[in-house]
Amino acid sequence: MTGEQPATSSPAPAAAGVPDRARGLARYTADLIPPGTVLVGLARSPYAHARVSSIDIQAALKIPGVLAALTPADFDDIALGHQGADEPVLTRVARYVGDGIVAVAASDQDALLRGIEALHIDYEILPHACSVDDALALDQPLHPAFLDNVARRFSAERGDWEAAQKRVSTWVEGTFQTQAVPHAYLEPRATLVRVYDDRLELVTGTHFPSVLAETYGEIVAGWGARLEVVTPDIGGSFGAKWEHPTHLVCLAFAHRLRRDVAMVLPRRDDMISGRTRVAMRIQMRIGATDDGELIAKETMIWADNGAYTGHGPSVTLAAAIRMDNLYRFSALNAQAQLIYTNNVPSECFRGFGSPQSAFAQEQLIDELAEQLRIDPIELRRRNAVQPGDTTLHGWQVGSCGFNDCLDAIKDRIQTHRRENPMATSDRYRFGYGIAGATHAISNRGYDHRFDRDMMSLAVEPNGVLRIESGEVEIGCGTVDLFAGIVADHLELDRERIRLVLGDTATVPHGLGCFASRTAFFGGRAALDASRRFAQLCGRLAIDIGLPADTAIASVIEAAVTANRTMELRVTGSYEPDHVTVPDESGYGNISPAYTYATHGCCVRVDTATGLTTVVCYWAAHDTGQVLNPQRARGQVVGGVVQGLGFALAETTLVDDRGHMQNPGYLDDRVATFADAVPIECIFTPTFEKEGPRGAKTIAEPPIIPVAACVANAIYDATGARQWRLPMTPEWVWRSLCAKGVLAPDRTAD
Amino acid sequence: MQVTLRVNGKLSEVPPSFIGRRLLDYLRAELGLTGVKEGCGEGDCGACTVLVEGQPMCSCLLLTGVLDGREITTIEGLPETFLAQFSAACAEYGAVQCGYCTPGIAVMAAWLQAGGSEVSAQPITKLLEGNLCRCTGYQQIIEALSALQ
Amino acid sequence: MPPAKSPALRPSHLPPVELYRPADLGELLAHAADGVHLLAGGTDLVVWASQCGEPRRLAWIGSIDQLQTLDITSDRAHIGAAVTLSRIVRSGQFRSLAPAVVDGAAVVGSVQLRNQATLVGNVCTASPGGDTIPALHVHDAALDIVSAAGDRRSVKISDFVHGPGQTGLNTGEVVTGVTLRGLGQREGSAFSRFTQRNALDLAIASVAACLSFESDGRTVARAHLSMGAVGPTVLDADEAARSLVGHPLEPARLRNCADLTAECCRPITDHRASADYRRQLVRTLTMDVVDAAAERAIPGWLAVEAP
Repeated sequence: MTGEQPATSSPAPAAAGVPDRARGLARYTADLIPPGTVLVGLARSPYAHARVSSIDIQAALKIPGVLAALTPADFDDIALGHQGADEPVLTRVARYVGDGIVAVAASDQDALLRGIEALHIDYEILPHACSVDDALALDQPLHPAFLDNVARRFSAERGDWEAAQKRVSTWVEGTFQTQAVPHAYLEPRATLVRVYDDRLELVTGTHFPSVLAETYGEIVAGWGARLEVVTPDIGGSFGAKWEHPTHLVCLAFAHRLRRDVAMVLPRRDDMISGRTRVAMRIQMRIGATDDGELIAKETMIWADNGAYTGHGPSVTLAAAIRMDNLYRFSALNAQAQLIYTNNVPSECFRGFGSPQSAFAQEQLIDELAEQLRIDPIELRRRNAVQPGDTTLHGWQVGSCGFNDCLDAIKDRIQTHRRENPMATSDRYRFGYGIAGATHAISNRGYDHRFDRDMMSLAVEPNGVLRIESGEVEIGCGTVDLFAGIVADHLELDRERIRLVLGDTATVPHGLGCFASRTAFFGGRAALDASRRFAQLCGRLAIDIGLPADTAIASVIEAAVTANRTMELRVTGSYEPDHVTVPDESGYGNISPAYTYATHGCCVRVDTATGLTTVVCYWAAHDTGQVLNPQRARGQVVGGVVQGLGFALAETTLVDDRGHMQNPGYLDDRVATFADAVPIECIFTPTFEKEGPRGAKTIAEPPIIPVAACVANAIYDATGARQWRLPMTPEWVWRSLCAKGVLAPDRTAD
Repeated sequence: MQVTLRVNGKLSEVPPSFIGRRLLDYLRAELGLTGVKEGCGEGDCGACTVLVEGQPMCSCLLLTGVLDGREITTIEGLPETFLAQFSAACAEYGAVQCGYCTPGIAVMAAWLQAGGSEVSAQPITKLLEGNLCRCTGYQQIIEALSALQ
Repeated sequence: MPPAKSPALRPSHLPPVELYRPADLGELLAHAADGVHLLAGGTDLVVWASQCGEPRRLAWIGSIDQLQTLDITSDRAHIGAAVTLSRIVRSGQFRSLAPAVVDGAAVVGSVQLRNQATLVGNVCTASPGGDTIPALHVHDAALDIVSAAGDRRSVKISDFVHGPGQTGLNTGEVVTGVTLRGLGQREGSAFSRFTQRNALDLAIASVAACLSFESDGRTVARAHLSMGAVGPTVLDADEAARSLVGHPLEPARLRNCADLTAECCRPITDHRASADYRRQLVRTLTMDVVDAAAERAIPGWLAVEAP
């Protein structure tokens, strides 16, 4: 995937660090679109499920400024989807409201809008299903190959279930419903395609430029062209920006028109055709002995795939089994199915499936604690996974600080309780909650060929050290982390380092920025590259006649003078050797290390309105050694606030015709400044011998326990268990009505 | 109709094709001021915030033609002394992640530093209620802005 | 199933707009007569135009000086159609005169949006949940309207808004401003709303109250209650308000009043909230808002009221 850069190509943008970002100098895809670029737009289906019976583009093509239109026929042999190729680029059968039918390219926005409005599309409406139950009952498959609308089934049975059952004295159980949530990144999806002689360059914010280059590269090769992918700065993604039909629409127009083309989705379009968290119904029961030994856990999941598959299978499997690895169960039984519906396609979203399953599991652990009359932290402590364990799912636990996290939260809650006697009244109730979490770092099962990262270091003629990585800066601090590791190791001035990330024409392979893997895999590759670079500098120093231990900066300076900077180029890599590709049931040591967390919070519930206010929040994390405390805290606080949105506010609402009713920030209710809550971030360090300088990672774990933690606090405050997300004021109020815990004179009608 | 704006201190005559379009489009497409970001186009995120006669507004909801004779300031036009302070505070407190919301917040911070407020004693969290950030959870931005005041 | 034909969903980009900037009221009326939409702050209109592709002809009212006036006397205020919400929020004088209106104006959108949006625009949008409308009701506001022929009329706000997005404005007519009654002696007003997040949100229920007390400082002399987002328009809760008049504001009476507001509202169930939850919120908000209005009328009234 590497190759020389043609003279016509604009230089790859250097990824911007914090100071540049703060000055507004970061360049996102839409900022790179020059005036005069051909603009692309889509006509989308107004029906949740309909067969397109005819398309007439003639009137649109006659509009001045309209250059071309593409229809499903132009993409008949292409289907997208990393884990189930089922998403057409433009579709003959609309499977959700917003599915793209016809694409138009025009020389300006006015012509583009007129062109789209002039299209004639006829539909034959088909029965639709916007819930998993409706989809299972629908006598019509949404995809011909899946007659029962079940896209994927998973089953994982571990341990001796029969024997384990006999030891259980107390079971707790419940059915929990989690919701679809849009990722709501600030930068809407944008795509720019630049045309060179025999090459198309796709410029777009994505988690994995190398995978896009591979996937789209094959398609583009079929058109007789080559493809490179450039990832500029990315305005957030959180698990949304992977393959997307709009990429191929733009590539096809660019190839056909031989002109640069671009498409920036308006926020509304982005929301209706973007992606959401996978909504799940989770039926779970957990059994324990009287003295609080967790024995058995059974999980059934019905997951809403939406219209197309995305990473739904991995997410569903993760939800079915990952959180099991937090405790020493004796037997586990998980069954899950991923079901096609006529909703917007669901996707992975920070935390993968674990925020969903944690919502169920960590509430049931609290239920058990109450029934067994054991303190909920103590119950977790007694059963916590320990360093050196191999879990029932095959996770080989290296460093593990779960107990320390539990202790830290216990301490915070005790102190808070002591120092803030809560004025509980008829109307306002206060309560505390906790929840635990574990997470993997990358996933060996993601790409069966390998799980690795590479990094090249090269000295430019002026002596600047260039870091080249296939990873991208998605907002987690990759730029600062890589530059920091290299600068530290080589004792170089940060100002003399430049990063080129995610440009497949120039950088070595990296699997991508997802699954909390970049700091770990990229960090190890950075260390390896730095070591190799130091050795190379030692050799060059001797060659030039300097002592072998000359400072790297001086060797680089000497190389500039001697015009020998070209010789200073190395590539380092990291690929863990003790991980295993999981089997179909998810069994395997999927990750080189695992992270742990416990969260605690204090809430105030207004029984008159059901409004839950988070008074105080504590997040304790075992992320190994903390490389950059400020960035790590940023990931924790940001993750917790996203988690609070998931817990209390955010959702995707669909009416009975399948139209999304809240496709914008106004009704999606992403937290504002005014919703900020005080969050204390606590790191309980372990030393992970596999990690870069003992570190693990922190991007995803902070969102996992939040909904469960808040739900447990609401229960503590009111006695009303929360079975459904989001726990909006209205739903909490309803749960209070059902429980009969309302303030005097305020009852449901 | 003739429309002339003063953008970041420079007079610029708006071409007729931009008079009936959004200020955001004019600033980005015509003047190349790409520090002004479009997050939602509906006034709900504040990424496109600019100062009009010193007051913050959403450039996605303003038609360029209504601003004849007005002074517009984007992040590109904020004083270097302020940008240096703001940038340093962001780095120190970890106030920037993806950075897409940051230009809008920088403009609000400059307004605050110049004494901007609606009524007295409003907290930063009220004054910045119109600027969404999906990454940081706000805490570190609040710390950075407090340090700047 | 039968074949169907429905327009495809279009990208929500704002189409280029034909923009007029009338210099005086006469020019504005000419545009209005010609079917051109009026553009005030644009914080709703530009969003709709982006979503629907319409309207594409707009006349901006902001360059007409007489629509920019904010006149405040000892007992009245006149707010010109181009006066922004932030001018209202920032005016100490206005706050003393009509605090409930400031409560409402201060929670619309954000600092940025309040710098753009106008009070009259908020009224003319005619949303059942418009944040300034209940407060304008309890301040007996009236819209000042001028027709293409130059005829002027004044319409009570409760008669002006007919339904969601519908007003009593005839073709060619223009709202030049709104006039409201200021607080008298021992009189207070307040507005509160319930939203699911603390900013940038739309009310799922709201209540405004205006209360005056007799010279004993205990007995309610006059009361006006108005509710938002719980009916096709903002609704006055007249019976509930009357139940307070002539009596001291005791807890039981206040609770009874809250029940009456909850009974007389006409909420619907939509994606933001269900009807019965809205009713519950009206009950709670009424207690809070009457309390706040009384506090403004007679600071420390709770202490006065005992035993």
